[in-house]
Amino acid sequence: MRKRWTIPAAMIAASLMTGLFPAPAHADHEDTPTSRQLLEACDNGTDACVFHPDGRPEYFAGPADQVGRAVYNCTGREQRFEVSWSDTTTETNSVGVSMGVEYGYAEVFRATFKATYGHEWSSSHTESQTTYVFTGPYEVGWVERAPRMEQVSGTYELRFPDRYYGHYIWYVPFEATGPAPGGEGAIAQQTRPMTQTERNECP
Amino acid sequence: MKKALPYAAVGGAALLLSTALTSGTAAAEEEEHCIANMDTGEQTCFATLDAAISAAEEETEPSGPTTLSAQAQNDVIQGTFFTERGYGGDSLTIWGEAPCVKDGWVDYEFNLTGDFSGWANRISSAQPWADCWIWLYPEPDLGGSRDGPYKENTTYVGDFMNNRTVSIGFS
Repeated sequence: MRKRWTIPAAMIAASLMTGLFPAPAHADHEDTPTSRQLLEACDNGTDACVFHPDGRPEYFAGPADQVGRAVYNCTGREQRFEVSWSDTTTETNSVGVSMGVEYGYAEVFRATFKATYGHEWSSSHTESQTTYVFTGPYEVGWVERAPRMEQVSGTYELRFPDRYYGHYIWYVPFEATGPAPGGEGAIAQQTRPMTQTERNECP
Repeated sequence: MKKALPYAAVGGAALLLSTALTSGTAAAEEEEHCIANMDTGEQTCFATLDAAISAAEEETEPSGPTTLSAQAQNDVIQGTFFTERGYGGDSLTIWGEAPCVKDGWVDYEFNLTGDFSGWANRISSAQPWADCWIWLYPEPDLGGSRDGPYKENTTYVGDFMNNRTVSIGFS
C-alpha cells in the first residue's frame, strides 16, 4: 500500500491531532442495539452520521383507495354527482421511526435527500378536490385515488467516538416512502350496480 | 427489516449495501452492483435484485454482531462509486481494513485495471465512507492530474474527472 501526500505539510499537524483512527472492535457482544436505538444516536453521540443513498428515487402509484363518500343513483336516468374529498398521504419507513424535525437522523436524511435529488422530502401531502361522478340508473358511484409515491433507500453510517455496543461504526439499512412532489396521483371514478339491499333503501 | 450491522461485520454489511443498492431503484436487468475487497481484489457482483438479496441473506444471517470472526474485525466500507450521476447505473463498493486516517497521506489506493478494467473511465458519482476522502485519478497507480478530495456524498464528480477515473485514492 503506497502512501502519498494529499495536503501541504503545514496542515498535517492539525490533522494528526484529531486522532480519528479507531481501535478495532475486539469483543463479541451479546447485546445488539436496535435500528431505532442507532438512529436515535445519529448526531446525538456520534462523531459522524451519514446517509448514503443507494440510487435514484423510485416512483410508483400507491394503493388506490376510496376518497369521499359513495353516491347512490336511485333514479332511472343517468345522474351526475359532485363528490368533494380530501385525502392525506404520509411517509413511512422501514424502521418505523418518526421523521420529526427534532430527530438528528431525520435531518440528515432530509438534507441528503435535498442535496441528492434537488427537491425537498415530503412527509405529508393532502389533496383536496371535487370530482364529478356519473352514475347510471340504480348504480353506486365513488372516487378512488392512487397517490403518486417516491421511495428512497440507503444506509446510515454511524461513527462513534467510543465503542457503542462494542463497535465504533454501525450500518443501518433504511428505506423511506413518501408522497411524490406535485402529484395529485391517479384519480378515477368507479361505479357498480346497487345491491338489492341498497335499492331497498332508496326513497 | 434487516439487522443493523457493526463495521466488524463488513462482509455481510457490504453485501447488505449491495442489496440496498438494487432494492430501491427497480434496477434494470443489465445493471450490475459489485463489491470489491481492497486488499484481496476479490469482486462479487449481483446482476439482479433477487440474486443480491439471496447472497446478502446467505452472508449476513450466519454472522451478525454476536458471532464475528476475528479476521473481519477491522473491515469497513470505504467508498461507493456509480457509473451515472445521482448514484445511478452500475455501482462498485470498495471495502478495506479500516477507516481512513486524516494524516495527510493517501491511506489506500485502488486501480481500475485488470479485473476491474470494466469500471475504468465510467465513474460519475461517488460516496466516501469511513471518514475517507476520495481522490480520482485519470491514470493507474494514482497517476495524472487528480480531482478531489470528495469529502461527502457527491452526485457528480465534475466535468474534469467524469468518466475518466482509472485509479482511486482514499485519504
